[in-house]
Amino acid sequence: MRLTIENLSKEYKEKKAVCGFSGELTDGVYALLGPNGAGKTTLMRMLADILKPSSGRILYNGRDISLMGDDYRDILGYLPQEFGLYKNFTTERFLMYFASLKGLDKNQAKSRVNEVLALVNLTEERKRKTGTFSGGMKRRLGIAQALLNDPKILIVDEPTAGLDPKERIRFRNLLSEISGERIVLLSTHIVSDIEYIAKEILLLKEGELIQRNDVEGLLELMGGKVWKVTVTQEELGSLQKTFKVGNIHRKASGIELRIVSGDRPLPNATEVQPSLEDVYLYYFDEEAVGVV
Amino acid sequence: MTLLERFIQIVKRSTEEVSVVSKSYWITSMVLFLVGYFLTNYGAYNPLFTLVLLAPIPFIFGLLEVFKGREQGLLEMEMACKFSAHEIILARLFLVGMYNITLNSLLAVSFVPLVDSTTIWEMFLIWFTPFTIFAALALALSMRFRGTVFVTTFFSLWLIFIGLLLNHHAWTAHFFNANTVMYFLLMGVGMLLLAIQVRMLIRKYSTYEEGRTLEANY
Repeated sequence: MRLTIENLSKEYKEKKAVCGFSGELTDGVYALLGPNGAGKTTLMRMLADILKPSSGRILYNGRDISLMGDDYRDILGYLPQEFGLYKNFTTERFLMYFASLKGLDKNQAKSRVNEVLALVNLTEERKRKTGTFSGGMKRRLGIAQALLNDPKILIVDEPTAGLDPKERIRFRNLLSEISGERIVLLSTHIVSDIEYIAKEILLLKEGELIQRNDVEGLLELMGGKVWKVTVTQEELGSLQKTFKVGNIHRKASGIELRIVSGDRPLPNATEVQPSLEDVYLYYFDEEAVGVV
Repeated sequence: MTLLERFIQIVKRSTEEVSVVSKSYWITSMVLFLVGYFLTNYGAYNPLFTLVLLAPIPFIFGLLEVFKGREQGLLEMEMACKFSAHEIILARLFLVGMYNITLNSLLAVSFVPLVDSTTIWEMFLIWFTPFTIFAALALALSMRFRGTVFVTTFFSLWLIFIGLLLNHHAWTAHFFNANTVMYFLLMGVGMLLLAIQVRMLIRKYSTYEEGRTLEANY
């Protein structure tokens, strides 16, 4: 299974949302990491074939997805960043309806609905109206509908937004579990969502792919770029202006800073092991969102 | 896939969509027509006028059901399904259109004993002609405005039309007694406008980019 992206671009009137994106995806979890406005959602919409690229093309096993029509949607599971539900539907009815939209016959749909309900831990809520769902339950139902047709390509945009820590962990484990024989592409700006499950991380900035590597590879690239140093209150301000400062930890001995810099920021700075949050800070020049 | 095969697919899909359309829509539309029937039968109202007055109303309320996915934020998810958003919309459109035509036809048949000078065929032309034009207008408005804004805008236009018919008896008489060719001409214009709107609808709801433009939500 192979999804090939060839020089993909999307331009709106005043802005280039995605610019010359190329790459190949095979089985496994891929994470699109980037700040808000980096072009993640636009790229995912094009991969879901609901948004036409300005130029470039996407091939699934060598076939242009824009020409595949139903055949592509047959193997696709998609969960957008923001979505609604038919509020007067029960969980089961909602999934049965989506199963019919995905072309599953009634018997197939019934067993598949049972499977996905169990997968997202909503079996006990099957008779509950979706209008009463919390944000986390709503998102779990969203992923359940995306999985109904057992998709070969699963695209989930910011799937952990609004979830509490327990649900985030459950969710990323779920994605990891189901990624065996399919391509899973998820976007996020929360590094801890992908640290343990992503086969590769694609860093997207201002519509361009600026780096692509596995977690170890990205951390290796950061070798010699992350420092720890203890400073006084007076030094803090000037260091924040000069360097990318990750953590600021006030201790009895002073203020301990984690700094991302190509050069040693101060003579007494010591090199430390980089983390994905440092990668984020290094490439995107803003503090990483490191929620567990 | 040929046009006929596509049409058959839409018709089949519409049977699945029956359960998505809210029960209150089916009931309210039917009650409206029953009230129209009883008021005309036991009051001194012109049956032809009742037919014209009620003709597009179930279709208008039906459009709220047609665009339910868009109103409730499911459009993007539906676009990625095998039966895509525009096919769902077309299937629901077919459903509410058929329901509307059935209700109108039943009402027209029930009025046959009340009108001596007009045949059932003429009655059909009288209500169906403005129906096609106003259905096209409603579809155009519903693609640009959401929910209550659409309903308010359309009913304002509809009330102006009804007001004109009520206040200008000569116009009403002309309209009810027009030449068959004139009805066919107007109906043709209405059908053409309706076809153009359906084409626009397919284009608009086939991609996310088109689907999110030109909509006003107040």
